Amino acid sequence: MSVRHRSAHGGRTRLRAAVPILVAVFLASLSGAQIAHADPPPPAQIMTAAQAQRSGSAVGVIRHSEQGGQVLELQLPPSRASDRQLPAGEQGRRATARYLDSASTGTVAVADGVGDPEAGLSITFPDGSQAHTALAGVAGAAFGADGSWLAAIDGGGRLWRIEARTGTASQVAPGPYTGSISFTRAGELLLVEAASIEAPFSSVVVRFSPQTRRSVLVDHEEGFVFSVSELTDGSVAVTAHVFGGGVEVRRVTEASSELLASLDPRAIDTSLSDDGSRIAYSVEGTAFLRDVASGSTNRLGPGEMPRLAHDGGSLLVLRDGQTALLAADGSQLDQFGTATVGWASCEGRCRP
Amino acid sequence: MILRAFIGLSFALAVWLGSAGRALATDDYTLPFYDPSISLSYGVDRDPRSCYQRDWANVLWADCNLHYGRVYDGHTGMDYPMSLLSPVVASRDGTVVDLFEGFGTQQFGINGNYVLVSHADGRRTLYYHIAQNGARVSVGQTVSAGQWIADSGCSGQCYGAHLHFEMRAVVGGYWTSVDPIFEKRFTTNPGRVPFLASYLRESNSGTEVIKRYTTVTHWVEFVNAGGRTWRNNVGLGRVLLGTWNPATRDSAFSAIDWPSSWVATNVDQSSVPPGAIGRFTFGLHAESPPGSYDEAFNLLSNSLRWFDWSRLGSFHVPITVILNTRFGDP
Repeated sequence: MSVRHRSAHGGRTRLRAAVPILVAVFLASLSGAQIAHADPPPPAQIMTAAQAQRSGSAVGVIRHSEQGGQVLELQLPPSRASDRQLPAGEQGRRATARYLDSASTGTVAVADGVGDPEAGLSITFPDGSQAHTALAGVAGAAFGADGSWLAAIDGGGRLWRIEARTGTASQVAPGPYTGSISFTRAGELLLVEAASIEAPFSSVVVRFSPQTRRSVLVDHEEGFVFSVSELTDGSVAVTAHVFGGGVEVRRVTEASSELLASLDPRAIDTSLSDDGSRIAYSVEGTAFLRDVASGSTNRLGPGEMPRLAHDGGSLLVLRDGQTALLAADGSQLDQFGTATVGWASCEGRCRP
Repeated sequence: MILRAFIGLSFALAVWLGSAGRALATDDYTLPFYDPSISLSYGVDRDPRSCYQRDWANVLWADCNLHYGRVYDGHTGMDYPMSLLSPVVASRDGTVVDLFEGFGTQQFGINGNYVLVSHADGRRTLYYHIAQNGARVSVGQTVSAGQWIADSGCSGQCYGAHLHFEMRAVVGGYWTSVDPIFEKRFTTNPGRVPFLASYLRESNSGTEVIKRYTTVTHWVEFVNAGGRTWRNNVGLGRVLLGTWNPATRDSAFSAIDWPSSWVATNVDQSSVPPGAIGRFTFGLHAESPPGSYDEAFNLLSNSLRWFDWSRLGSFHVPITVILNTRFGDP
């Protein structure tokens, strides 16, 4: 494994970025073609709690103290686009995936919809006031440490900085990045960069500094990276489909790459405990929990989109359109009537 | 029969005109499905700049919009709308080097299911958004052009069932997507699917009158309107004329030159490239009592696919068997 540095495209100066636009405008003036702008910032809007209630965009948040941490149960406004023609299981998945992240301040970020290219981002504060950003097809978001801003990825794989209070967005890097996004304790972003956003079968993990806008390749083994997260020891857990093989979870440091687990070749939705000792995943609607040290795998029964608690002792799963909280042995600890339930202060674990 | 022949000749002319000026290599890539009515909805964006798109016709679009039927920003493949669970086929002979099929058939997300095939010319083709457990091949398996390798789906970033077909090549030391149309790897003509034929003419477009206990020779010609070369050698993918309605039916008119009771013949020529005319010559031997009969035939790419019979002009041979007094008939 090696680490190499490279600049993000977003690090270009404004002057350099403007040159092709100026050239295009000049050419268009000759040809009469219409010229549009390059990635304009999406519009933003703020609402008081009363305005949010009146407009039907209010988000209800119920907090539950559970084994493994605090769980948020969200009451969301309906998606803009109807999911009714989809299989019930997929409707549940899309509802679950709308919860993006929550900050330690109690602020919650949700997607207006999943599978809707026009769906944007809503930020709801504990007092019920909201900020909306029309970030088309938002694919993932994570709050910065102080909750004052989010890093978010749109449907085109572009990385944006969203100011939580106002919802105003500024593009940080063009990517394309997939939806896996989380902050490290050092304030850097762990992102998955792919050559193609529609067909990202080959991708790499990068560590991106929002301050310098430079990215460092974390691991460049050829693979199809599903997700990435930082472990308590500062190493990075990478879940990827290995080229020509199955699904592996590796612990990557600057000096080494260690195989933590080799999973079912159809495994999806992996979620790790903070120390990497447990890995939850699903295969065709069945949830599994792997203990890394012993190598044993516990079949937990029906369940999709497992999301492990920080300590790995419990997990949330989607089951029949609702959410169940399971213990590590598969016994049910609690049940929630909605699909949109996740751990508070997700730190990358709201979504598998 | 005359109408059938007219349609066939018109089609042959259209194929010839459509291919004029194009150097479509024999055994080059075909469209990755069987249905010739499927059209391209988005092609490769060959301009790497954000909000600048260069489509398959080399037209530059200086905006951030979708251009339906042409291109959208950053697109690395060709999108073909396909209904769920339709056959996705190998675009060329090759070897499966990677696949993933764990995501749900309509599971929306950044990641989806796919099959990746490596070809002898060093290129790879990617078939993306396929169904859950939709791969009909395994890693390391060799596949033939036109072989059914996957079922279509809508896994991954997909707003409606379609196939994302991508061609990849090593450029400057890195794997990157290339534009198969711009590289003239296959044509934009509709119908350049692997197996397609159009009726042209036959030795006797009327009724074959056969004296009982004798054999007549019949031939029929079809235009190879597909993208795959027809061959008459033994093996996977050779093109045969077999009985139809129902398929592989034992024929009452099989002659001594038939390879089997339901295969009338292989294509006569050793090689019939796309756009060329293939002839199928076979005997019809009458043992049946005097009367009127009708024998239907269809083309088959051996072990891979029956052709679309309607596009063969619903080819059949009306037969009248008459008495043969020389061999004992009264």
